[in-house]
Amino acid sequence: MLRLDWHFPVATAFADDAPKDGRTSAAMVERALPRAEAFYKVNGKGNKKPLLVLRECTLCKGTEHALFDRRLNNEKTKLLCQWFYCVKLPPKVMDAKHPFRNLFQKEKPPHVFICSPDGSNLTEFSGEQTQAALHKAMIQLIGKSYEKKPMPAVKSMLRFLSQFDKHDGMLQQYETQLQTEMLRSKPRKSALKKLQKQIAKVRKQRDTAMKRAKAVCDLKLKVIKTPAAKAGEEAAPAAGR
Amino acid sequence: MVISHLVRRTRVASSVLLLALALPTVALAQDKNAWRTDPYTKADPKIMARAGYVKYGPLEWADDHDTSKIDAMMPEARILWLETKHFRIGSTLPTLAMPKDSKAKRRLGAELKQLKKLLPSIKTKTKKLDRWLRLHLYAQRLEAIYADVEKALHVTAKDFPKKYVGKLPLNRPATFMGLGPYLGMGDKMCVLLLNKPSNLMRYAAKCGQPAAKKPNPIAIHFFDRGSLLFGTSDKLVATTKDPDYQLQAHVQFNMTVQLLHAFRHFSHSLPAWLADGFANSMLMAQHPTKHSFSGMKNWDRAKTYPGKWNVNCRRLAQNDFYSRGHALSRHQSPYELTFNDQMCSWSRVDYLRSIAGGKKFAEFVALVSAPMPALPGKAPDFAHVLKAQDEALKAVFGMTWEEFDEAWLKYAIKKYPRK
Repeated sequence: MLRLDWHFPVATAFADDAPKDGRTSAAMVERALPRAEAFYKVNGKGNKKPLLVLRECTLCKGTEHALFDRRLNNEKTKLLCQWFYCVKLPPKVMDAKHPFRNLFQKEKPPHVFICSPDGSNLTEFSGEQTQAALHKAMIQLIGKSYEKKPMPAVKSMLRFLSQFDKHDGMLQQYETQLQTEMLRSKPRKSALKKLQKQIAKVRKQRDTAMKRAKAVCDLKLKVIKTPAAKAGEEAAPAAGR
Repeated sequence: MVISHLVRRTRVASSVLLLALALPTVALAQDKNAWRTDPYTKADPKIMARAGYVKYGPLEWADDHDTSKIDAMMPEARILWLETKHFRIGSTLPTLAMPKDSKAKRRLGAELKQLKKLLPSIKTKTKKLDRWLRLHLYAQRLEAIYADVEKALHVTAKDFPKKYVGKLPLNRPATFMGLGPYLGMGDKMCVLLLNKPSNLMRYAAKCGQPAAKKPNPIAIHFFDRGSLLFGTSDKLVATTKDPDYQLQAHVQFNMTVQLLHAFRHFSHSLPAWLADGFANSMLMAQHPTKHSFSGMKNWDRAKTYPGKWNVNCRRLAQNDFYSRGHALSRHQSPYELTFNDQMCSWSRVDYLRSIAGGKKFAEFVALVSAPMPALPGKAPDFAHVLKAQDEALKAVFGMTWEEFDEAWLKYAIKKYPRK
């Protein structure tokens, strides 16, 4: 539940960059896409969730410190992230010719930003924001994008998390016991049966809890149009790095 | 006279000044690219030839891109490129302090000594493994894996076409050994060892691979070049204890799986028990405490699974909890195998390799890797692979799966220790 599914979009595949057979044109030159098209590409196939974009930088060295606070518990942040389409962009995105450069228009580009799939309702963060400010903005955007409010779901999810921890711990314990029993010189049939029953019971409990948690998490996305690329739109110049 | 002398002196002085001003810029540019130069060979062709190196970057790489395009994609990663006899390797593995554990030190010391025979400028008693040194170590390890797989499959370079013969023919005779010199593949194996999993995922996306739900090692078949790529990140096998050893085992396991699939040209996937069992058999022969998986049912990557597989397999055999051969052999995906299945797969391959010095096992693999009937542009149906596997077991070992179970049981109880 606390695992973040990051997406790593690229504007074009290598195959698209190469000249096609029978065409004399040179390889495609990299250029900054118009902002709307950049949002369209970053969204992936049919994403309707709000976007959370994390820009990697050479100082962060692949960490997520710009999003997660190193000194505090990040469970709530991770739970809120579930209602976002999380995207990581490379440090190179600051190059003027990078296809996704126009996602960051300001002179001081944000380290993290959240917005609707089309780029509206934008809130930017420097990476040094407080957790409270981040949560506030995330909750506001979730409220705009989903039909239900997120806070009751977050509260019950925090309760579910302790249940999941309990189930995982029990499962690990029983599975280790079962493995040990199977590998004994003379395994006890009754103990084996009992352990197998216990494992099945905990798995069932965990699955039921997971189902309920998923139902709680379903805040029902509002129906909004996904951004479409505007063909004739010109690339807005990227300001500074 | 005095004036002309003065003018000349001024001209000389100004040109010296200009030169002095220009020098730091040139030096700066050189410094900026200094990381590209291998400090151990200094790109000297004689030393490179002695070490078995063919080329440094930029290298040819895939069907539609070379390494310069990968560099352009992630310039901050500063990828070091090296081409050896059988591999093209790209690495961003960072500098690592020499482990403090004496066993690990001895193991790495032995590897460095071996490497010093090829690259005399290497210091065997070093306190850190720098980026280039790690790349050299991986080049040495990968070439050793290639040689070991060739040996295990009882083949040499002579058994394969000398040059890449191009497109895969639809009708292939039973003697078909592949399309090219690299175990039947047309081109060298590509290995990408990246520090950041996000770069690995972006590269996979750029190659047109479907998006993965979470960062995982990648394997790509470049059809036109006829080569296979394996890419991974040290963060995917993160461990606090001896991280380089963990990564080494992970790379060795996965590269063995890849080379097994490359044998006689990759055109279909092999049964999971055979691929994982063989890779673990090769890995544990050299590193008895290490094992790895391509996949597993309910696999928890953060968990350390028990070792001493020989003792465990003996007990599974004795207690009648072992995985039955027929059921085990039907799985196509390693994610269908349980931990006990994985141990039994290793043990079964271990048993088959013990017969006739491994010659029969090589014959068995050759038959399962043989060309399968397939529709144009489509992979063969797995049912053909299963049929070929059943026939090969009977033809090479003279056994049915039930007879294999019995023979393996006897072997496991007789050969493996009780504790």
